[in-house]
Amino acid sequence: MPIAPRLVAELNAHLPGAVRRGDVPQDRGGRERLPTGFESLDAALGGGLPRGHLSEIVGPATAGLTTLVQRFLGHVTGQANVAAWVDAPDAFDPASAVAAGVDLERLLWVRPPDLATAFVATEALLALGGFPLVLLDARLAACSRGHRSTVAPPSGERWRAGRDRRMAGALHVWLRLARAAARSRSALVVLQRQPRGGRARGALAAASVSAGSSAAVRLELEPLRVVWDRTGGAPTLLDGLVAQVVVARNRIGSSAPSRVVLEIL
Amino acid sequence: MPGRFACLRVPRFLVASLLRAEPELRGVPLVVCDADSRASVLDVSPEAHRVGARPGLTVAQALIRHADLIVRPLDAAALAAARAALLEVARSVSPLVEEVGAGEGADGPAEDDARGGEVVLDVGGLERLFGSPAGIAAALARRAERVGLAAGVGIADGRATARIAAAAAVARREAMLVAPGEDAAWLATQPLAMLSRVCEADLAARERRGWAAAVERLARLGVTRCGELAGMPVDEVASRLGKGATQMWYVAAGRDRSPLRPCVVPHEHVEGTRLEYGVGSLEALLFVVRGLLDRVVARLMTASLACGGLTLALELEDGSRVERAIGVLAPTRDVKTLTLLVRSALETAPPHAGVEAVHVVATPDRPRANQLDLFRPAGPAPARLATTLARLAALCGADRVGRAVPPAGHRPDAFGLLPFEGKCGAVTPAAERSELPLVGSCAALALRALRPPRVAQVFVEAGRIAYVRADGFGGRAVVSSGPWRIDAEWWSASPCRRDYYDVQLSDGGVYRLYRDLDAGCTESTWFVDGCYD
Repeated sequence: MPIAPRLVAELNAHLPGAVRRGDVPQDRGGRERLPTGFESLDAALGGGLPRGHLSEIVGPATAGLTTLVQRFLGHVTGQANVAAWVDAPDAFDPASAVAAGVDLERLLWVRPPDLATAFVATEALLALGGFPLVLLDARLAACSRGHRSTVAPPSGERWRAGRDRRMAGALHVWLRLARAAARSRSALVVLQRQPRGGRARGALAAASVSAGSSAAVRLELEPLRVVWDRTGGAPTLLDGLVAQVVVARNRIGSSAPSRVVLEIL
Repeated sequence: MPGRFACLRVPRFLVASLLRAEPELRGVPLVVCDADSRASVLDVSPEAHRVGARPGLTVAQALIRHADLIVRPLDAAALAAARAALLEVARSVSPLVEEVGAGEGADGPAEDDARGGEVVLDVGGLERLFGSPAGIAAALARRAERVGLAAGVGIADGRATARIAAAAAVARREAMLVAPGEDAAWLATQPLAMLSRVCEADLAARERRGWAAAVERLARLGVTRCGELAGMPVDEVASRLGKGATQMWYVAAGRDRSPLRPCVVPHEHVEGTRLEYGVGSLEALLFVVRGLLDRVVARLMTASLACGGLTLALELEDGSRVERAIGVLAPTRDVKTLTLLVRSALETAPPHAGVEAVHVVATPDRPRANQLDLFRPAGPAPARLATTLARLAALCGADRVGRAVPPAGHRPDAFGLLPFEGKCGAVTPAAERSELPLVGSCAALALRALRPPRVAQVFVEAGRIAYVRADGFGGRAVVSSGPWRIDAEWWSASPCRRDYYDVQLSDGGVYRLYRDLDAGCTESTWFVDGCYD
């Protein structure tokens, strides 16, 4: 037996999996993953959110969406990566981010004045490259209804026609962003608002146009319960949240929908 | 050890400065006239020279010779910018730079070649940087071309010889390199008239007349080449032809050792132009500004710099002058981004009258560099990051792009924003990072901030929050926690005294409310400043 294969065999016997061919990448076709920091969710996703793809995370208010994403961001910046947060509703809270482990020196925070500018800014950041993670917070409804008038829907027929135009335009935008993410090998994560227990209606529908089929991964968060600590007559304390994450779509992993319960305490 | 000098010479400098500002005029018979009276011709392009136009003619005389001449008044701003650009080109090669005959073209009519913008620089020892004298000459010519000037380059041991060599290079359209120690031999074949014409910029008017008279007398004696003059005994030349001819003899013999007189290259990069009529449309003005930015960025690139800030100065039809300082978030060389910033500034506050002249002042800054790490992921390329940041700042506002930093004060909703630098290298351990104040009862859940905080109507029953109503949401309070009092900045003029509450409403959301303890009776006292999510 030639000496090189024998040595490799011996090394593999002592250190299983330690010797690999250097010229074959383990992950091809943009299937590299960014772990979210939640083990159970990473397991359901097949390792984390994919780089080079658009992932969409939707959920109602107080579903743990921001917490999930900030911990994800903390995990990414903790590995010496830089990341960008395009914050259309101007809702990013630096104090919470630091508490979630985010290294603010590695986080570019962009606060565009409206959603259209947010799309342009996101595309510019993806075109720049070098950001493994670009987050686009597109939740302009409900809590942020007073932010910009551009999302307020007109009424009646005019509204329906306007909505169709917006939908067509938005689809075009998502496709562009998905392609830009593929070129830059960045994980583009879009945060969308979803009302509790159903589809968006009215102002909410007009404001949050889903990435639809452009998203390779779609996670839906559902709050299960808010946890309050009321022990021993002490003042009531907000402890955290228990939420359920439904992997509604995972085009580059297991196609079967899966559910993960996250305890954010 | 003898010195080594290079000379960079741009022929027909007035025309060259105008063509640099308006490249679309290349190839047309162009005449530059006096800016005030617009009567006399100061400089002509080669095409205009071919059809009979000459400096010194009146504009009417020139137009009689060729009716299709394009007549442009002298643009002092464009001329100054071209001179500065030429100096910067020389400065990018050597720190010792001299501007020869500054302003000679604008002072009055002269022979066409003598009006060239001319810069002499000390290139002694620069072969080690550029490889050879040919390398130095090529670098100078290439950089001059990059800033929009076609220059001839001459290199020789003597300062005057280098200038004569540059004049010869302009005529030959290639660099003229005189080998070390060969100045006298090379000059021997050069016409005496050229020596006189090239060197007259150094002389006072009286000396200039003396040189011209000496050349005329030598020509009558049949002496037309420098070598013939150099072959004469210098004491005889001095006694028979005077001081002017003696100076000329030293130059012709290659014994000129006149020193370089270094000048200071200005730190700011200014480009400007005067328009033919007042421009009132933004698009037309941006077209002009774009050209100016193109040129100023080309100059910055020559010096390996980037634009770290802009000042736009507009001279208006009503005689007023408007200046706008335009911040650039990160040093950039991207003209598109800079144009976007100027557009944003002009749209925000348009000029109140038509614009007659535009000046762009760029503050140079070093481009960002980044030391890559072998074992950590590389971030975005610094130069491209700077350009993207500048573009994002133009889109969103300079105060809306950056990295968050801990606030200077103690207000829970305060934060600072610093330029994002795309930090690479070692990760700061979480324990060493700056902590930001968390208010409320929960550290596990992140807060979505509401900016500005929403005014809320809060109904209190038996000392507990019972119902909350605000713009966009509201409901019965299911659980509430608090108050968590903060009393910050009590020493300042605007103290911050608040009672914070965490409230879960019947709509399922958990919100952070506060009651402003310093608000007066007539003002709202309850606000919602975030939603736990």
